[in-house]
Amino acid sequence: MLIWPTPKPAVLTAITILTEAFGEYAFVSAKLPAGQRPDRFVRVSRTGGGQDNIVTDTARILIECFAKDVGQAEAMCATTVAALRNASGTTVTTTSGEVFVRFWDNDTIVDFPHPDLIDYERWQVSGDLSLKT
Amino acid sequence: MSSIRVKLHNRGFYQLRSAPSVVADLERRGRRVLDAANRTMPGRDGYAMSSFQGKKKPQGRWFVQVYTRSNHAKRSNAKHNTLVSALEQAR
Repeated sequence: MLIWPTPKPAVLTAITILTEAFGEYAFVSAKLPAGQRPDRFVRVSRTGGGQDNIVTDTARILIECFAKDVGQAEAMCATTVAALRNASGTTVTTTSGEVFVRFWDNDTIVDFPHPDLIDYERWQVSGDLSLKT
Repeated sequence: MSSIRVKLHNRGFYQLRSAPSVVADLERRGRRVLDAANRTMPGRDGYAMSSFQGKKKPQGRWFVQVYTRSNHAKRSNAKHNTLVSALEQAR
């Protein structure tokens, strides 16, 4: 009988990679910061993807980078892509255990302002984060 | 040794891209995206779909587009990234 392993948490893995990449520069979370928002923050969510085979879970990940000006938001997207690409082939230690990142691929960057957060610029990246199950 | 010559029939590629089965598959995927997007706004049908063949030059690819057709849908999509999330339905 084939036993399918439980996939590793993709959003948590992306948050861990990006938290390390941004450090103090920007707050990284799965939710928008409530109350007094920092000047720069990043929201990570999953928009799709799945486990196509027994050894790999490929999650479609959306990363929204918020900053007070376009230059910062765009640079944050570039940092995001570089951090996720450089995580390929490495083991990331998350709060729920170790996760092996196979690759980050098919990314697109777009300038897409948020209608409610009018004093922020939002640039976002979406791509496929492939993890060993 | 005989040489193999390959001759591409561009008109054939153009016709293949507009073949009924190809168009039907693309439209089926587009409709799934459309339905997923419209489910986020019950009773409003804020999203619509178009289906057409692109210009013969360069390639004449078939396009299916799902787009916002009301200001409410535009705002909702910008806030919730509805179309980005619904795109998964095209797989």
